[in-house]
Amino acid sequence: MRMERMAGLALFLVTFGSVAAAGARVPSDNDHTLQAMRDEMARAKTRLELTIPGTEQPVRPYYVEYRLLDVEVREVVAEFGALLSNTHTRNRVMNVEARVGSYKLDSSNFVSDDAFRGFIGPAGSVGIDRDYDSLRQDLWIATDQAFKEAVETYSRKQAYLSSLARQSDIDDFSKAEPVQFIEPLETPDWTSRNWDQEARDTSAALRAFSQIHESRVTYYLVYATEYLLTSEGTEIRQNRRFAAIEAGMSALADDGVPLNHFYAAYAARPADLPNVETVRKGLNVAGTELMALRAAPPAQDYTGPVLFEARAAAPILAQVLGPALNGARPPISFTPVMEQLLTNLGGKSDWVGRLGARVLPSRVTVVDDPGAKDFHGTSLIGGYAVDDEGVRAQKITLIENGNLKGELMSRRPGPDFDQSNGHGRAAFLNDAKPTMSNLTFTSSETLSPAEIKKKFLDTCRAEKLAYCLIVREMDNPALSLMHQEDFSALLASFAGGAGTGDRLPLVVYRVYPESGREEMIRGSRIIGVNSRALRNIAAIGNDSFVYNYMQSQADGFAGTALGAFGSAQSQSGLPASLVAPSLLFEELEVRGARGEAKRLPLLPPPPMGVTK
Amino acid sequence: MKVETVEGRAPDFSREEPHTYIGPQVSIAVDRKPWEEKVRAYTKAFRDSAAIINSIVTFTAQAQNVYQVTAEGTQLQFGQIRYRLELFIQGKAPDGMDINRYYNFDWVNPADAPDDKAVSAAEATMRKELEGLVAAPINDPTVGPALLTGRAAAVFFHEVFGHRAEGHRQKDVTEGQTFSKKVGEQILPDFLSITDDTTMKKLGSQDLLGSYQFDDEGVPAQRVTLVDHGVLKNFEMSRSPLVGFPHSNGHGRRQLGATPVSRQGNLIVQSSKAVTNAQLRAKLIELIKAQGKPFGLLIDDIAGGFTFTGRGQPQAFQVLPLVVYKVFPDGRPDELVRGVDIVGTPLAALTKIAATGDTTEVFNGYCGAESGSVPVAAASPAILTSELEVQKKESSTDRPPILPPPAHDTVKTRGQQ
Repeated sequence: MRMERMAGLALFLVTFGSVAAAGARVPSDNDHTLQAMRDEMARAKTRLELTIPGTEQPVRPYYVEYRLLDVEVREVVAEFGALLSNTHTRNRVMNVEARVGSYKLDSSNFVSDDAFRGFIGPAGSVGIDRDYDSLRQDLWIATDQAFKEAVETYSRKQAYLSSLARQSDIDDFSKAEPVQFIEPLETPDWTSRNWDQEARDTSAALRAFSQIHESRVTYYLVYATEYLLTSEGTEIRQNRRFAAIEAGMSALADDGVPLNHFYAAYAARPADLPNVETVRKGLNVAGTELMALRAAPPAQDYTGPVLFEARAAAPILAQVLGPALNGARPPISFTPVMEQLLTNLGGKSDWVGRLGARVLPSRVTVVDDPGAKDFHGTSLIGGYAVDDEGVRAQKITLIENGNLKGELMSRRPGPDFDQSNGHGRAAFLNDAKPTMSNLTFTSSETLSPAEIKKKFLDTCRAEKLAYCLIVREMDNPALSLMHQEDFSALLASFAGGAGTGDRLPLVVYRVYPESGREEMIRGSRIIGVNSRALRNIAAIGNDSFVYNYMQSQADGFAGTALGAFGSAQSQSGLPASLVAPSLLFEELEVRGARGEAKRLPLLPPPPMGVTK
Repeated sequence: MKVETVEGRAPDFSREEPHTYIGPQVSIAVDRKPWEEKVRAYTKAFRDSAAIINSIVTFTAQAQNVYQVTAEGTQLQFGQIRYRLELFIQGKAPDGMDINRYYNFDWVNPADAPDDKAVSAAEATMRKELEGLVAAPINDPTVGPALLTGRAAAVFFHEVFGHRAEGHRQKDVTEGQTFSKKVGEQILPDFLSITDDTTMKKLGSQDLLGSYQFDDEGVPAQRVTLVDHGVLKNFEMSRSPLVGFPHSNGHGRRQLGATPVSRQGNLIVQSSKAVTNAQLRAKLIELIKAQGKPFGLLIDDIAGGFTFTGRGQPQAFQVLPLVVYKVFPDGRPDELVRGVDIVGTPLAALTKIAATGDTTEVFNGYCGAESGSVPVAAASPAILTSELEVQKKESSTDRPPILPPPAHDTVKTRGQQ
């Protein structure tokens, strides 16, 4: 993935840094959201109760949470210089959560196959006028549904737990200090740039490649206001924003094997997106590489050293470290299928429960800092002041000198930590899950690019291999595949190996150690790049690449290796940044060509001029 | 490959004349602001009722331009504009049963938009019905005479007759093929005739949603007589022929992305035995007395697959009476009941139609089936059937909200401002 270097970007959050000073001021605007929440919360706290037949004590919620997302999106999609769509939408959605029981044991963290059949449900669209009455009405019904749902789940969970021999001694929910943080409402700044024309102009760059069958260039600009109000006293209104340019493109090799490539650039706000010339250059590089892939020989099975250049190492780390550093307990599940699924997708951490143990090479330090704004002048996009559970963001040292020191924590406790450290993040109001923000992977013992390449080639020679592999770029199928059915088909064949470390490289070169000649190959799959493999990294570069990407919070993706396959357009993506150096692995297994051949088109592409 | 079908000898695809028609492109210029204000005001009106838990009002303006080019030489370009206002409210009976009311206005010419007075009248009716239904008793299973008002009868004909008269269903072994071998036979009382006329843009002052110039296989719209004086004559045909019906009659329709199959357009029921609606009601009471029943049913609204596209999966063939009154022979006022479900095959009820009203009513909607959602209309006078069997409908089990609606709460909660 080509990230645009954007020095001197503004902060991700305008008002970041003055959490306390913001205080709980009553906004002087015409926004009645928090007031409606407060008033309905007062009723929920004092009067919401259910008496279960055969019991004396009425059941009441011990925790109620109102979340609301006000999101305004501009989306422009173009192909080969023509607009496919141009939309501007604003929506407000709410989600109400009620918990019954206690912090120790409550209605959460339980997956059962009997879904509650509510009639409006605890989540849904609400009016966009920020008015009081209609929101209160919606909150009333949603609270009612959420509470009833919690009562039912709690009783099912208790019944299930009573059948287990051993019960978990980890609490279901951690206590957190209430936070009041009210930012002023922000007016979206779409800038004076003509986004329609930019999408046309940039997408036209791909007209130069007649063998690209299909392409999409999407400009996706988001301004959002997040509200959170809890029965514990937390009141939050904060602004979020990001801007993305994402492109996918497809072609067929001469043997009929489908090939894809992508381009992505992310920024904290629309104004900071790269200009037309920069995007055209990026698309041109991706298109050129895609054409080179068409001509490249298919990969063969291989075992030997693999050098990941920093740009490829970053997504690898995102896929492995995301789940490995997730400190929350997994949910209790009725179905062993769920357990199996998590293992397969890489959603179960091998590190949790091993606090203090060495898990990475001994000079490596890993830090996650939601307050970081840039890395040596390159903007980071994963920052925030308060997380989606209302906990102040904290800088956490996760790995120190190779030893596990910390974990990414939400308010769901785990075996090693029982408190949140402000990493409970949620996209589009789904459940908050421990998620990285701005993560840096550094080592106090590094090699220069020349040294690491030399070590790589020396190893290759010592192994007496004809050639060895350098990975320059990893695939993100959420961006490179443009059709949901293709993405689903890929996941069906790939996801089973994600947990054990199957990875999808995109741009891979054979390097012949004797001549130094490089030759691109296509269609490989790397095996076994998991958290255990990271412990044996043979060398770490002194370079660094800032990988800005979207963490997918979609069900089945969040918290697993697939979480790194995010996109801005899916509405389940969270901006995140990962800073990584080049990494050398002494021995990895690489499998040969993937992808099933299709019949080539019978006719050549229609004539299309390079310029429109 | 041998495909087993009832009409096994019919070819796969019919030959049709190619057509060339290049019409003007259409576009809409809607002033959003007044409509935003209108839908705000229309939903606000529902706040007065404590029984209305949720309300949604939707205004839609759509311009669609169709382009078709085929290897046979067809070249078409034409456009269609549609406006729609939908009103939807939800409530809950004390036993947990969900109660919904829905009403829609459809128009083509901006000048035909409903005015505030018309919308308010519809809202008042919806509110009255919803409040009545929330408080209404559950109906017990009965068999007896029933009167369907025009709109209810239109939905009924669309679901139970119209879908069965779609040509491709006569071919498919998995379908009921109710009418496959009945062409030329009496299937309805001889005073009833049914056409599907997609050339018809209006019926009286009302726009018909199922009209178009060419279908989605490039065949011109036609008026098709399906039933002539009770005798089955024809089917709604796409370019998938049947033995004896080798050609399309312009009913091959689809939503973008689906493969066209034969679908309804404007289904119009006509009667030669029409009486005034007052006389029809008198006939209902006569039938109740003649059959020695304590009451008969007046069905004023029916939910079918095309009555409301906003919620859930469309169910072709299904009919669910929503607004039902018991009508007593002794002159007592009608009593609203809920939870009415029609037993057995509703088709049987069609053969027992005794008389019809004299005023044709139109129902416009979007019909969902194999080839996606397509705009349709159905029109019918009120019908009186001598026998309809109904049972109790399954009710949802979740209980009504614990707390009263915030705007109708008489208790003052501490901490509220």
